[in-house]
Amino acid sequence: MRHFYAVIPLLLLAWPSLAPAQDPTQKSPLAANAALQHWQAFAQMQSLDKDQQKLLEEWSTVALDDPRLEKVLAAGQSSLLYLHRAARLPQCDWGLDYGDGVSLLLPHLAKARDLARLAALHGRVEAGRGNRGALRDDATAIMTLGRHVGRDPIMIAILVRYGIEGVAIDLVAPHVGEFKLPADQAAALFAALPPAKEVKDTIDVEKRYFAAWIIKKLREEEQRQPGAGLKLWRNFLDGAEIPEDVRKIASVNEAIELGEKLLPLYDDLARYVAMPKAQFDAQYPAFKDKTKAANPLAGVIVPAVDQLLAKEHRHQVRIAMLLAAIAVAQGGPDKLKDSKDPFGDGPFAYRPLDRGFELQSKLIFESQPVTLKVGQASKK
Amino acid sequence: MNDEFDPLEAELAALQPRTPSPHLESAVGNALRGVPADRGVTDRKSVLSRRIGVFVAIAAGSIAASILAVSWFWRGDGVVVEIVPPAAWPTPPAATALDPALPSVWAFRRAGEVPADRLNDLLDEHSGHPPEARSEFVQIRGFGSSESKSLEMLREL
Repeated sequence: MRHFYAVIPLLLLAWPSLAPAQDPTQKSPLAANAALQHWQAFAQMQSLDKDQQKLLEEWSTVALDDPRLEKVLAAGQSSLLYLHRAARLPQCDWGLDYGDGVSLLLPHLAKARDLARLAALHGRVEAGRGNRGALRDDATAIMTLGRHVGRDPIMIAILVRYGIEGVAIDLVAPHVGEFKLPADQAAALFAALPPAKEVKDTIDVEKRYFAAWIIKKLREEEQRQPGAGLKLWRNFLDGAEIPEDVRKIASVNEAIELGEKLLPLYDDLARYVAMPKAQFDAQYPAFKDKTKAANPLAGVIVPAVDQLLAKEHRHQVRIAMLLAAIAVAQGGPDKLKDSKDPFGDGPFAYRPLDRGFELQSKLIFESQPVTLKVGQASKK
Repeated sequence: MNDEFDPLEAELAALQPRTPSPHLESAVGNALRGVPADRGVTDRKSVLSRRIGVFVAIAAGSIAASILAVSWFWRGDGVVVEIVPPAAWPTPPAATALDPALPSVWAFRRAGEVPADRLNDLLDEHSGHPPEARSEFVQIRGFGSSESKSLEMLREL
């Protein structure tokens, strides 16, 4: 026993040399964050001139024999490599600090949208060459990127998520008939995508981190220097279409008071957003009118959830239509019986086309029923 | 059994019982009389020596830890490293939200309140390429916006 006590100081002295050195070939758990791979992809994206940018914007319609394509795709090769690596990692954390309030910067959104377009262009070109595997990999990577972007419950991030996932739908739909992927496997692939947030998840963030942050900043500015709070308030209102009632606010205390009265409204908003669509459509307009009449600030600060939800519903329908279309392409129109229009009473409506077919939902978006054309891939 | 002793058997044969310790007798006597062992003189010495051992080990450990700490903070150049208290988490000024050149939540919010393409223009700006000819800035702000303009703002996404 006495010998054991004698060993303790020796162990303490030797401890630093006993500690294992970090092996550079071993990845730390932090490396499993897909955002690191995405940012490498963004960093490798070449600056595009106006012409190339236009090409990327028109990825779904540009002629596949356009000589400019090769250069754009060659320049984007490294970015696509990192995008595909990121797609293997389900966890993604962009490291956003919600405490920054409406000053929170979201530089990844624009980069992600461009990366999705680049991958879609690549997938379309490869599909034109008969490389269905590349098309499927690109579409999966784009879809995963959309989910990664939509992991934060921020409205603009969710809008960009739907935009990016929409790119994947537009990429796959024309080629659905060429896929040999069974419908159940396609559904399983879709179900395995990383989870992402929806509009209903954003309301609490809007309240706690954005609306409450503005109120806090106004107060802090006014305390720092009398008059600075009001100046900041006016800067927030910079621009047109501010209601006259709001323009008339002459003191920061008045602005703060109105702002504080808005906060409980977000709880009401959360309840409305969680309602089924039919109930929301029936009840929300009256709530909106009443709220705007009661507090002029509502029109300035509170988000337009009805329009965001319209976008969300359209996206949900398009995803459901794509999965149904894969089943129809494999087993014929009878397979539609197994699908259900999320905003209808039964399956989607089916209409054959010269090449492929069209599915139609009961959901109306911008005065038109939502549709998806399938199997219309151009060869050029 | 071997006819001749091999070395092991010789060694075993040489083993003799050890003379009991002089303290054994008193310890056995104490035990028979019901006196607790730690009250015996011998055991008291044993406990004392154990305590001294623990004390020495702790003292030596503390000294070793101090040496480690000093050697850690006292670098070879003879300069004592100053320990800087953790700084407050830096936060952006409110002006960040108002700067249209930055992709802030507020900038995107405002972009969502303008005629078609502004939101995409803003995404273009923050992708590193300039937007096409800019539409005139019109502020709508979601909840209070006119339907037509809000629909336009969302169309591109």
